[in-house]
Amino acid sequence: MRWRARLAAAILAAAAVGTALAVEPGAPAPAFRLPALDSHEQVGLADYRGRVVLVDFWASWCGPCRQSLPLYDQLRAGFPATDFAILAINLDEEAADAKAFLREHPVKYTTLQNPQGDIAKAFGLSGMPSSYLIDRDGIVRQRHVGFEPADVDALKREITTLIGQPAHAS
Amino acid sequence: MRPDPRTLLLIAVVLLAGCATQPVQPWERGRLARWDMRWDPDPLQAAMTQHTYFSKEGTAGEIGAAGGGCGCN
Amino acid sequence: MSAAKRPSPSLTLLLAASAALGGQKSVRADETGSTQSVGYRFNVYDEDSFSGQPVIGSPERYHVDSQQLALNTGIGDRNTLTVDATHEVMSGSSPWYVVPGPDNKPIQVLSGATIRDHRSAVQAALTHDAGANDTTSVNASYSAERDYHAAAVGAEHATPLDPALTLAYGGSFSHDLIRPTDAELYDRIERAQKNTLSAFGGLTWVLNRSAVVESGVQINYQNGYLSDPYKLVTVGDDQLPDTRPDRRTEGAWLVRYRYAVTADAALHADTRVAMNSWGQHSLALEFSWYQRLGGDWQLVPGLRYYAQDSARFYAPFFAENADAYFSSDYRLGAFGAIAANLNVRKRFGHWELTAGAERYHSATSYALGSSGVPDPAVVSYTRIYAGLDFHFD
Repeated sequence: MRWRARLAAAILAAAAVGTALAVEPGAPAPAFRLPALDSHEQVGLADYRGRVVLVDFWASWCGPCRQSLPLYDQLRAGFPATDFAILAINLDEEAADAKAFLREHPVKYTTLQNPQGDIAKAFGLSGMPSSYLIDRDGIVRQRHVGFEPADVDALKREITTLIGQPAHAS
Repeated sequence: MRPDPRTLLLIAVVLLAGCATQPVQPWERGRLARWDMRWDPDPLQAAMTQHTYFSKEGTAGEIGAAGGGCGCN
Repeated sequence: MSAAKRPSPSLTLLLAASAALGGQKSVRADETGSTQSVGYRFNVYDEDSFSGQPVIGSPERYHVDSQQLALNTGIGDRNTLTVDATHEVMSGSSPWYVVPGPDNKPIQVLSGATIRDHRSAVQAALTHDAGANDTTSVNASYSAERDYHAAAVGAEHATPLDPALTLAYGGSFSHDLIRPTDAELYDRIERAQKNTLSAFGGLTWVLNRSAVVESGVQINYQNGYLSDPYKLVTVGDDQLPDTRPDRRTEGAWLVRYRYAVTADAALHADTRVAMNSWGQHSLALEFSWYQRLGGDWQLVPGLRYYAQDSARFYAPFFAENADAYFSSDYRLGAFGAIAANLNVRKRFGHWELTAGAERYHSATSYALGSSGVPDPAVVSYTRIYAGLDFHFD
């Protein structure tokens, strides 16, 4: 039975990338492989399978991002790295703007760049910033548009819950 | 003196270059968010400028309305 | 997406601007930037003296030194408060009335150089961001000078109709009180008041990722004492007080355009067409180019063209059989003006320095329509300014 589930998941993932409908909770997160902002090393979501991942789409021009980045950095440090990771995807047209922003608001987690915005489209982004909480099996469990400092507590609880759920053998 | 029609046409063409309409995705709003794309990048300066024009010219748009007029002569 | 944002577009800038204060910071929903800042500006405004034409009285005209102070701060995540204060010191003579000279050419008579007068004004605006780019703003202002006091309140609301289109609308009310100086000495009215009611509506359209355009309409209704108590009009052999109708309705249509030409440059183009119930029409065209240069410099040259025609009851002087209303205030005449300005800015970390100058040249030959009516007192001026801003974030 497992191979059918995986096939279905793969088809759904492909469909999600193609149609750019908003990725609903319960759907698999679209696959992506993007260069890191600083090293240009290619990093993919699949590299994080088995961990709970927060994918955060942000840009230097997004006001709430001034608050979200430092808080996400703290959030990341509050959980073991083997259980939880944050993968940020920066959507600035110019990498220089993203780097300048990070000098003001540095974070220790990985930031990837996607100036063309095709991954944002794959995830069906409807506003900036947007974050997607993905479980150990690569399924999107929560999606959030916008950011307020108060959001972090709910996020912490959800991450704790998801960490408590072991990955399904695949 | 009336504005030269050819000058107006040139201005219109330059402006319309930016006018092709295309839907803008939420992550494509970076340029629109730039400081130099605001209606008034420097509100203090704009206020002083508009106040000066209002005091020295006769007609509406900037007229007193509820800005607290002045006895500007 | 909810950092406290100020209300989108609209013509509240036009409303509040007349108070020479920071006024409503008309901001679009997708604009970001620090919401915490303090700013100071110093302006020097100096009118050209009369030259090349005969005048009676001092040919020196108005000079104004102004200072502005503005504070912007966020209150919680969803609110922004802006408080602005202005103080101006005015001196110089102003046009008083016009007499016919030889060949009926108008000769301007000026008041003696006035004692230095000063004007203070303060305005506060509070904006609430309800989320989803829906913002509401309320504002109040008060201004005072020796002979003129005005209080005003206003409100506006902006809401997106769809991702590319935002609707903004609002209104304001102002109550002004005039108590002319030396009323008895010059036989002026002792006190009078004026009320202004204003409403506007506008649509902002995001054309593409590089351009936005706004189109809006504003209507004002004024009633009360609308004349100038310091001005006289030559009617036949007498000088009578400036007498204008006790009401005026005005309408204006405004279009504003912003285009990000390159990653370092943007073009601003504003046009305004207006008319009022006193028979005046006007056209204003304004262009600015915002150029970022390496190392946090900005250079902003600008050009403005303005033209108006005269009020029905305007003339430099009148024969015996004048109508009920008459005024020779140059602002009711037919003239136009071309202005050129330049602003230079430099950012140093949290600080930003700004300085600039404007040269405004007016002439009756630039008037809207044929400028058959002379307007001897049209004014040209030079303005220079400098300022400093501190951005907390």
